[in-house]
Amino acid sequence: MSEKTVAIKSRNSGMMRDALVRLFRNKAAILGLIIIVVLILSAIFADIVSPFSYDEQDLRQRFLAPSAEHFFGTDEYGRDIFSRIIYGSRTSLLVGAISVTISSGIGTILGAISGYYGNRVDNIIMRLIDVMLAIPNILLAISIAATLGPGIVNVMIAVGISSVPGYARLVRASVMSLRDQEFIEAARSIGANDARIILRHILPNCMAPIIVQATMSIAIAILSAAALSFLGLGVQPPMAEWGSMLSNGRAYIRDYWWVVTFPGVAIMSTVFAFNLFGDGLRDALDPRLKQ
Amino acid sequence: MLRFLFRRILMMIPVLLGVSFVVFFMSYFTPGDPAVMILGDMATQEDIQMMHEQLKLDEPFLVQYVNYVKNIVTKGDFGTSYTTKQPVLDELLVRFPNTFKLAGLSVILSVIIGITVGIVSATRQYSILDNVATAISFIGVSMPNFWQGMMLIIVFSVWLGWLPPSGFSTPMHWILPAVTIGTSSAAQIMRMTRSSMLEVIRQDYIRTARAKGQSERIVIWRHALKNALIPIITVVGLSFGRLLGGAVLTESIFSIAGIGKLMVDAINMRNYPLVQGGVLFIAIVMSVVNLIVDVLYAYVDPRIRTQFTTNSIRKKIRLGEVGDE
Amino acid sequence: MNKIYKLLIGMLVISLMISGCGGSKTEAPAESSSSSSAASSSETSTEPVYKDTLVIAHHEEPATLDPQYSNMISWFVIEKNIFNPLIDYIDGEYVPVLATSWENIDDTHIRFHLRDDVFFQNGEKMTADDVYFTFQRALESPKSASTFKTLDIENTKVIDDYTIEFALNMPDEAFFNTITSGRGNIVSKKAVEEMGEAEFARNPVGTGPYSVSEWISGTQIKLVAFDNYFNGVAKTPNLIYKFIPEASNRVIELETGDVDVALNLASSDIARVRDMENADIVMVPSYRYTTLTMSMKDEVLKDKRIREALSYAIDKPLLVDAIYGESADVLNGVMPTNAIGFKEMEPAEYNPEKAKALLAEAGYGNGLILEFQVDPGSEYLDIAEIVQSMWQDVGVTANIITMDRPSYLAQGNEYQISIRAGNANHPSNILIIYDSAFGDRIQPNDPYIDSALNEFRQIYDDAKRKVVLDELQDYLWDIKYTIPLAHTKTIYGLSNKIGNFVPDPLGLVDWSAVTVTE
Repeated sequence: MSEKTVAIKSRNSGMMRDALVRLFRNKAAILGLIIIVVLILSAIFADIVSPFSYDEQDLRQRFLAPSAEHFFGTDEYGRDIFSRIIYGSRTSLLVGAISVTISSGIGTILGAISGYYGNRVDNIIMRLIDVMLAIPNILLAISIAATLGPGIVNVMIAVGISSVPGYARLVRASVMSLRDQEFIEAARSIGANDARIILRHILPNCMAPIIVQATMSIAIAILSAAALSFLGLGVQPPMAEWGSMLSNGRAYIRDYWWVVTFPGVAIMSTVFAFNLFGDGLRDALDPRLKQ
Repeated sequence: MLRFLFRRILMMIPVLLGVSFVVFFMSYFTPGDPAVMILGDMATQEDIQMMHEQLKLDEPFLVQYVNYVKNIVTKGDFGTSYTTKQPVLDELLVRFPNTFKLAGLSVILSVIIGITVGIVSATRQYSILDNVATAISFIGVSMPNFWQGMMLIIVFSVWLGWLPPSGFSTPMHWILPAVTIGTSSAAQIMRMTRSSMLEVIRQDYIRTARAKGQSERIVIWRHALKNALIPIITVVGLSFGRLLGGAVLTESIFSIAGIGKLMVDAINMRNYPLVQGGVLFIAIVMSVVNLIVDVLYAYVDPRIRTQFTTNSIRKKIRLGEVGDE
Repeated sequence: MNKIYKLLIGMLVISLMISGCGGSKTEAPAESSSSSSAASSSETSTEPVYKDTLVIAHHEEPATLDPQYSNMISWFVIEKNIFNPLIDYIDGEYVPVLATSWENIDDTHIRFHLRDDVFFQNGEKMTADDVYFTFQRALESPKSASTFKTLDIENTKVIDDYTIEFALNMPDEAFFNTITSGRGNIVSKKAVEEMGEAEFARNPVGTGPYSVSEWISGTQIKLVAFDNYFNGVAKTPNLIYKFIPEASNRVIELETGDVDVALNLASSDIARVRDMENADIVMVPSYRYTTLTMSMKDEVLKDKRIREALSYAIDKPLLVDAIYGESADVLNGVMPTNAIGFKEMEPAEYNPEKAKALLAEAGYGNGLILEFQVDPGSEYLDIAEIVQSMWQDVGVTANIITMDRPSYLAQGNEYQISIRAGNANHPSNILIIYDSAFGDRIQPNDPYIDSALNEFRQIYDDAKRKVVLDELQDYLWDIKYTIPLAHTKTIYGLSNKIGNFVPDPLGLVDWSAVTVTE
């Protein structure tokens, strides 16, 4: 057994190196990565980076247009929109990361079990997935969020659960293609139990598509969370979140364009960055698709 | 083919039962009392009790669920809306044409734009045109569509005054909402078309077709596109489902009386019969769309068509493998 | 190489979008005003030609048009034009509508004489039976039963076709007020019995100037004039209520002339509508007021010094101006300024220093943490965020908890601090929130309040009632179970083509006398 895994591992690391080289040659992916790193840094150092606090009101300074003091202007409570967008990146990245962890975690487990055992187990899990897929994603997220009640944690759960089916199907397909391969047979023959085979032998070999899917779905998760916040199922004020900034600014759309423009641009750039990076990652990990 | 259709329709039944159970289960355990929602915060305890009795809210979960399913199956009765007291099915059918029209228009829009631009991009890979199209498609999938809707209203209704900001009565009213929810699908279809075409163009038979001296247009649009269609159809089918869902926010932004807006309002009001009926209705539509997608697969790809009659594939279908691809 | 293009172009597109949003903004007002002036100059005909349709932009679709099953003002707004009540309350007086006169037989019996020339839209004549039937079903409806809780329907008698004698459980001066409300609109007994409730909800039959001709769910309701209306046929034959939930979209529709009236505008839209050449704003004080409530079951808030400190820490004029602009006034009293028997108080003082001193005295000099539970609707969240910031200045941390409305209401009125809006003009209905029996979020269990509330509504004599009511208002203002904030106005956006418009505090406009010129 050890011989086999060593061989697979070295093959893997070689592949990883190739993939990284390919990734770093892709300028668009690098742009995405740079934006993501900047976002993460600004989220971590929001207290230092942002000129004002996210909840600092000044009712005498409402709806100021963008200026040297307030780069993105001020909102209906006289709060600095630039600062709120910086702080909002915390919320959005956190929501993106955690909900994707939830969905990829649950999805991978379900998909692996389904793909590995097949037959009845597979049938039951896949029918469950079919049920979830029959309800449009955002509607499912709204229903779950309504069931759980509002709050940022529940948004993460709602968004996470609603995108489980994608992972489950992806992992199932990969696992099915791997389970009958000879190195798995070999592991089984020396008495490795199912859990060990799935965790140590099968999943590491289908990580690439999962990673790609996860990167892409951070983008989707951020969009879904923004949509939930927009419907009022999101964060507690005065916490800054881009979707709820859009929702609150909606009434002032005609007179003060900056109130809704910048949070929207923030969402768009973030999602854009994750899409670029995810796309580059896929090209890098799956050279077949690269022309 | 007929047997295939029959099987697929049979397979929809457990899924729809599952959907109805999940939604019923979730709504039963969702916090918030419909009676209080209807009566407001000034209601007295007696009012609330009276409302409970009228809405039959005090019956146990399973009794409510079994009655619900029984009424649908035997009478086609999806229940009565708590707020308006009208049959749920009537409320859905009044609004469905708007949502369907919205989704349909944007599918058409995104298919036309997506496939055309995708093919042009693929045939002129790495040209400026290709790069611009790719960049725009990335932006297209990155915009929250409710935000895009608001921006379109600002520009085209408020500043330019060309298009109406709300409603769905005339073709002029259709443009902004259809563009709003069609953008990301167009972008996705474009990217899928591009990569799928790139793959096909390199195949031998395309080279053969070219060698036979057929014009480039026929080669691309007839030979290549037909073979690149399968992944594109998958994306279009998925888009349609997403459009039905994406309509939720877009309908709110543009004040369109559609299913999406009805659903959000119903969830907010805890109007459970309407939520349940609406989700089930959408699930039925999605299943039918998926079915159509599968039939289209068979239509464009003779290999799949012949497989429908063989035994092995039928087994696969039962295991849900073909539908998954 | 190619990827660099891709990257540059991507950035270019983003920057274009951002600058595009900024760039064209300045052109907008000029263009909109020139187009509307062109429109107004073209209409210089000598004789006014009246349009046959009046289009109203309304913010919400009613769930029903059945008055006894209605509980939203936005529904009554439409019902107002389909039904009539027995009496109405206009400019501080009860005036006859379907009743011609009424008298108190004794403290618990009131006799109404009805008009004998009133027809329902189904051609039936209105009689005392219909009136009896209306109130009987009101008591069976969860949405109206508590409104008419003093009515003793068992002992209410139809004397003859045009006379009805109401019996009350106890003397109740407020009864007159309750029957002026939309829930007191008279329905046709025959129509309800023939159609059934569900059908009547969509196609109601009343005595009013208009009847429903077409209801397109989610889009609009069209009413047509009833040619047998006892007060004379409506001036404009068709009335259309278009449902446009977004206030800014209602304004755009008004600007483009697609609607003649926009109801329920936001304060942020006032300036814009005033700037329009083809439309203007009409504002009247409503009966709506916002107030901050504190739970008296809470140990901390039971201390009057804390409540006073919280009041001192709120700069009301600044808050009201920030949220409402000119569409509301600071409320110096415990009822809306135009409520029956309102007593104006000295404005509450804004004094953060005093607030700090009181908090220190009460033992919270080092800070106090409160829970601020906010209904997600309307302007409550805006108010809460500003109050939160003002309290922070005196060392009080209010954690705002907001949730969707169902979860909010599911808490059964258990909120430490909250904001509510009242919408009534009679002290019985306004001050009921302080009643222990009512079970609202304040729950003071104050014997004085309970007895005063019970006492004044039983007094029919205006002067005597005023004494009790004034004393109660003084007490409530001083004890600060609530911190009254603002008294709002109802904002109408009206096209210049509208004539004979009479605004209503609640938006319940009778459009039958209104005209629209071509």
